[in-house]
Amino acid sequence: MAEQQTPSFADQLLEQVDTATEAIRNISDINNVEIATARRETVWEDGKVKLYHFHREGASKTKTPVLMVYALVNRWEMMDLQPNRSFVRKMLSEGMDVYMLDWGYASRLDRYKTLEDYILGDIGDSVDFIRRKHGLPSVNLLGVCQGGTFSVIYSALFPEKIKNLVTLVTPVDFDTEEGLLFKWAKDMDVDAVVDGFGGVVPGEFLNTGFDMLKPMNKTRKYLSLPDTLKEKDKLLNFLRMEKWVADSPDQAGEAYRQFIKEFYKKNLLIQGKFELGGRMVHLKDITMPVLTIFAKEDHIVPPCTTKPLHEKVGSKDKQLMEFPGGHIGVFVGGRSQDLLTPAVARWYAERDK
Amino acid sequence: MKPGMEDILDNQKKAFETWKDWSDQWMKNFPGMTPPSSGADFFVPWMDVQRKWMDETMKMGNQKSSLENAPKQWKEWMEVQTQMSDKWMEFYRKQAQQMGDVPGAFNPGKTFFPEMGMKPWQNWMEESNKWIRQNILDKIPANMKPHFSNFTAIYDEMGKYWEPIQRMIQFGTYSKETTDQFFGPDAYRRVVSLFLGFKPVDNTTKLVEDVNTFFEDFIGGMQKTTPGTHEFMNSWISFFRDWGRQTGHPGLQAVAEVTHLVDKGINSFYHVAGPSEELAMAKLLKDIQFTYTAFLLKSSEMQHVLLDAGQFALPDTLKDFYDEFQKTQKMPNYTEFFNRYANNLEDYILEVLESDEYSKLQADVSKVGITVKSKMDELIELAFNDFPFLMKSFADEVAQENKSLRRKVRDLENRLYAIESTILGGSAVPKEEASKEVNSEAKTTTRKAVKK
Repeated sequence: MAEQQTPSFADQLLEQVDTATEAIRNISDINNVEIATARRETVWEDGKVKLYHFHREGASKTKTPVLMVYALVNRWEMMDLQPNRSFVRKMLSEGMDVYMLDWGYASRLDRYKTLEDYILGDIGDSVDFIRRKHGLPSVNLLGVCQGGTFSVIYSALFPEKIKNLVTLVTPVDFDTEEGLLFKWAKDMDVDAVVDGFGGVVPGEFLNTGFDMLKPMNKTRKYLSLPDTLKEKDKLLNFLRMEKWVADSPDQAGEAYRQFIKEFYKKNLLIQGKFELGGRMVHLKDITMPVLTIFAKEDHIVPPCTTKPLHEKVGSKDKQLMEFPGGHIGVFVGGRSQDLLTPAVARWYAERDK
Repeated sequence: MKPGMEDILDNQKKAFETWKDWSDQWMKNFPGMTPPSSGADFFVPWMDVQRKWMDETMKMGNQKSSLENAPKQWKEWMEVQTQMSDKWMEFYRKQAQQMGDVPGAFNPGKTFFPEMGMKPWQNWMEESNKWIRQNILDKIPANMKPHFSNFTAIYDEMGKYWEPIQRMIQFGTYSKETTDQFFGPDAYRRVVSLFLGFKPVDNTTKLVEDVNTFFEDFIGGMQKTTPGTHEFMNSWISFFRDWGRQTGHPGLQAVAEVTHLVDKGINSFYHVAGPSEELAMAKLLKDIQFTYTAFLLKSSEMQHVLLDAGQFALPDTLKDFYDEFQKTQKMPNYTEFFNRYANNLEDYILEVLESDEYSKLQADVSKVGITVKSKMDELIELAFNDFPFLMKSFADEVAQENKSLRRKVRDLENRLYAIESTILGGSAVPKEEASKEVNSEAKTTTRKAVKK
């Protein structure tokens, strides 16, 4: 019995030979790895910040466009990683008119850029641009992760300009030790970090922290390579994800300092004590319809940091949606394509009066 | 070294030659076996196809470049190899069945001939794997390469122990003491450090000595350009030498105490010395040395905490598989074992990462590490102060002005917004575009919107 169950040496070797053959063939076939290929045009820009408008076939089913705001950490391309795993394309195919804010790559020139510059400046200008272009009093906003926190703040300050708000895996309550980032940030000497790095915090520094949240994630990823290499599509997926992970922009120091101090350390936003541009930000001032989406197995932004938004907003029309997956799965997983994105588009459409 | 196509072909050729020898030997030893038509039924067609393929390929010039630049040929070649290996394996199976033996992992005596026959294919596999790894490395982004290289290094390192690991699983010898005997502290430290991506500190004392040497060299270089500090530098060097001698014990505490004492001693010198650029540089150098030493000590402490945490991961993994083997008599393959070990190690390490102590330690390591970098930046600026070079601090001034201007523009926009809102009676879309609009269509729309 034991002999039959143990794979024979010959079988193992034959399997390896087959795998290697496929792997060599697939690797040889791939010469160019592209991400974020949905057609788009730059419709507004200010310095390094750009606003993209995605091309769509035919008219949109809704009159109010959606502005997507990604985090400063990593790049928005995650929302359009590949044609069949693209939040953006799915939203387009569901009939939405989609804009995306691209923060660009912060450099030493941006070291004094603050949250006020990002939120009141870049988001505000983009919102106003879209409002003007479409002749609308308000637009739909969709914030992702840290970009969601920014979107929440903007919506609280300018509720009249935001028709509907969707937040994806967005932290608002930072007083938790459930996620390691939230614990470690409290002990971090952010002044030493920002000043020590000369006002621009390297993306690699942040990546080191993210890697340590699940120290063996990379090992597991590379360990599954033999299976990945057997199929060209899987190999391409792997290479696209590698490309995205590797592209980690540096952070404008002052904004980073503010974000760590005022949110991670002092948790001011949820308490109604956060001030921006001379105005206090109160979540109860968010009165438009709000859809709060959290990922059940999110180890980067745990549900306990995202769900409180649902309770704190002043909206009468609000909905809390659980996604059965992790942080990244929200954008690129199969369930994201099949269930989540259509649900988001439907939610917007139902409120497009 | 990157394995080229020639290497793969050579190995494949050797594989075939050895296979042929092995087949001949097989036939002599087992005269009752069904001969595979002297191998002619699959050997000759295979060679013909391959020869034809080689002829075609060689017409393209250099063999290596033609192979790498001609995916079609490359694919055909791979097809030929696959067909050959399939046929060969099928033949092998038939022969093995006639011998009444199904070879497995634990009957090496019986599987001598098959193993001998497979060896060349294993070699082929190894060469192919090297090629695959190199080509993956070529295709992933530059900053991901170290991670992948780390992974392959760990995978190979652990692989060296796979044979004894299988025996330990089979016989249930998984205690930590036994594990330590074959997978010693050095191997463990090397593997865990690679897993976590840090450079292992083998010997703190040695490291501190190396740091001292580095700074002595650095200071030596500085003496040449700043002779005024000669006397001070010499006394400083003697400080370091004494310090190095006193830190013969690897205990971190001793190093920390001596560092503190030396720091105090040098500080008193600065209190009596007058200010000058040379002195400022010397002080910075001193700061860098002590901060860097602090970084090494903290970093070493952090590594020890993590290494301590994971030391039971391997015994636990062995026990897991022993228990499973008892129930199923099934031995895991190396990848399964490696995966389980990584998962168990992660569980232990996460317990530490979640602790308050680690959080503070990590914050300290980051802080002192980054401080070293910033002091080095300061030193460079100071050293080139009199030269007409653009330095980072100039960029800071430009950045500050840039930010002020942007904010001023935004304030002006808001004032304009308020005025226009009043004039237009609180129009829904009032603000004039201050930033650059890229396409003309958008501009037209904007004007329309404003008129509304």
